[in-house]
Amino acid sequence: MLVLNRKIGESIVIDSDTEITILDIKDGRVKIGIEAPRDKTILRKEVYEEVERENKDSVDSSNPLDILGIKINKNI
Amino acid sequence: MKIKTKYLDEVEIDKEKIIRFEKGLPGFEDSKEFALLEIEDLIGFKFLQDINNEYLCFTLVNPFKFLDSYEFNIPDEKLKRLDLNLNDDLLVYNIVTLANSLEESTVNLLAPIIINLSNMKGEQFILNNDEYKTKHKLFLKGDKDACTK
Repeated sequence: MLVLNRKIGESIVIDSDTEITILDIKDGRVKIGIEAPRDKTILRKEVYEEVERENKDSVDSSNPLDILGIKINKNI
Repeated sequence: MKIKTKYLDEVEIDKEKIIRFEKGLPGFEDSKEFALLEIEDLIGFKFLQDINNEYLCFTLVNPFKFLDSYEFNIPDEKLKRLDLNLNDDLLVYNIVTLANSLEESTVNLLAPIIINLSNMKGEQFILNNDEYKTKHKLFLKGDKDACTK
């Protein structure tokens, strides 16, 4: 991880198309402004992790054939 | 081509119908090739089966069959990742997390799966929307009959 120190108002540039600016710091919360190409997905990490977790839970969940009441016709 | 599946044994699929998830899915970023499989004659549900890993299979539901409304906005620039054009056909499905019964099962409305049928590209988009969560109850009691013949 690259660690940089920034003061309020200072920025970080990633490649030439993404800029992250520290807008405010108050009560342990940092307000961050992000300018990036609009096709980039930018999320609070916990949101991405929640979707990850839900995807993993869904793969491990009950057998859908049982829950949906499906009997598979097997062609012999 | 024949593929091994988690719930349907070996299945014959059309190579042209393989869906490419360029970014994989959250938690499964290396899984990029999937097949959308019918589940017997069940309406409204499909399997999204990794063609290279028989143990990886998601159960999908067509949200419009079971919800009164499901609306969301995905910025054009993000849809460009699927090379979306005006006349392309899109499929929208949501991943179901099954519990011990349909009534207890939940659907992830925060992260729909969008498939562009015109070029077989797919992606799971995470919505920027407070209204939808990863765990919505799938059914109210009694509605499940709507999906079986």
